[in-house]
Amino acid sequence: MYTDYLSLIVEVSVTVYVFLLGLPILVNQIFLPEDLRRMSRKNYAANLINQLLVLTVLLLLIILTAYPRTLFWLIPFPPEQIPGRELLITLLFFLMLFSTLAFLYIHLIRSQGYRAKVVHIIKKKLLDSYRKTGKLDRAYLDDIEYLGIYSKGGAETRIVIQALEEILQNLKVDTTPGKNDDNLIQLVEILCNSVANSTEPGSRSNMIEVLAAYKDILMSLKMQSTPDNPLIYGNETRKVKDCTFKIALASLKKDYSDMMPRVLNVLSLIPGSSDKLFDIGLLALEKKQFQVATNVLSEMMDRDNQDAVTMNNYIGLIARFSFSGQAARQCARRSLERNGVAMSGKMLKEAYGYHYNLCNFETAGLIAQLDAAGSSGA
Amino acid sequence: MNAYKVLWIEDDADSDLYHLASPVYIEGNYHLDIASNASEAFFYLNERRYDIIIVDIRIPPGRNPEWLSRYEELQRKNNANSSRLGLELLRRIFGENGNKPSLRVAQNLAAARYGVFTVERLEELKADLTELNLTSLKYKRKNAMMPHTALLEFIREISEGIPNGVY
Repeated sequence: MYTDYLSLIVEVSVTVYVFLLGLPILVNQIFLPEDLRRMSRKNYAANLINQLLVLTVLLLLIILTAYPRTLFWLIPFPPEQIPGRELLITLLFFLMLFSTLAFLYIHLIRSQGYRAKVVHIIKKKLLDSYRKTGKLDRAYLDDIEYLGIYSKGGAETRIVIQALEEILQNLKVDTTPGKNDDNLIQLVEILCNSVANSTEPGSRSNMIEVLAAYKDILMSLKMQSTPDNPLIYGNETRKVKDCTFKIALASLKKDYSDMMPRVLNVLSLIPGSSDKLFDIGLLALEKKQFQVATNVLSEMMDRDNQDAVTMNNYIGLIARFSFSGQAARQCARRSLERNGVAMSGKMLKEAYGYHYNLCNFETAGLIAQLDAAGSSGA
Repeated sequence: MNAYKVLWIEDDADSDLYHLASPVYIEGNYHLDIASNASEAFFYLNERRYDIIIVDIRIPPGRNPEWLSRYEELQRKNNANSSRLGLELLRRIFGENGNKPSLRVAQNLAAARYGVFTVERLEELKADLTELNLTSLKYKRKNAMMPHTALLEFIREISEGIPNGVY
């Protein structure tokens, strides 16, 4: 009877343990999103090993207590019952059982809002790597980017955006002259991919959040710029410019036309952004959003947005306006008057060449038509 | 390229109230910058020269830690101004408690360039504006029935009131 009881306890313990061997896989499946499990180079379930270790020790203790003579033949245990052995093995068994239940409970609780928790873990790891090495661990960046791209628009993507924003706040902008701030560039790109390249239906509010983050980055770069080290002209700004345009394209594809003023608002902070302003103006004209197109025309000539090719882009947009109906033509004429721009043949030829070289053939063609109309005095 | 530079501090400027901006753009006389919160407004005012500055009274703090903490501090005290950060912005610009005005761009310190465009009634603001010695500030009330040219008209009104023109 006594030996039967011990054997039963050992058998049940081994069964529980065998079940537990499958726990990491189970927990992994509950805890980690499938996409992350598939591609991640990082292990997010390291703590499971510790839990298994605790239970392994408990199982070994149960077996050792149950069969001391068999296992420790060198040690002269008396053949009769060790006092309290039955009590001890029962205690160990219940300890193992409660540990198992506790671990399962913890994991079930953790499985609630698991995406936010994984994002939080990745954010922490990224900040740790930044504090230790001054760089953001690429593998974790890949993971958070993956989560951003495969998150559902709205609350899920917001979790990723907020984590990235928190990392941005902790990031010290690298002000070394002539050096790119790779950390910042990577974060800008991930923010963009989370809303513009997402496989899920995108959310307008997520795009607005990212544009607001970009505005903050630009303001920070501008404030840290000095005449000797004009950070605002660096590759970080160029990345923000490209990403803003990508978001603009994505928002237009999703018919979030009311995003354009916000896009414009960000671009107006970027020096030398007349090329992207031109592209936005063109998109707006194509979508018949004349209000946005008109704003772009005005913004392009803003004294804070001057660059070497502003006039070429401005003339290109003027040409587009001129062939978009009577009212748009009137608006173009008014813009020329107000800005004191007299379109000379040389200016038109230069603009034509610029757009031709960029393969903006339609715009180049319209500039040529403007030139021809001007030459014939029409 | 002698357009007037206008800063419009308004959190709904690029959403619900965007239709008000359109006549300003189409007029061709103005280059409009939009700041949608106190942090952005303070940044623009310190970075760019403006001929006309339109301030909304109810604006969010934005993400600048300084403005965020000011906002939280006011909220903790249950201060009505926690939602009226536009007033706090004016306080910061024109100096409070005997402090000197704090903007880097001197041109933006001329009170004549400022106008308040808000849903709040003038009576509600009078005490604060008097305290700031800004009673002469131009004021226009926002409402649901205002014409789409309301902003443009207000900009014109302010520009006419600036001694020696805008420049």
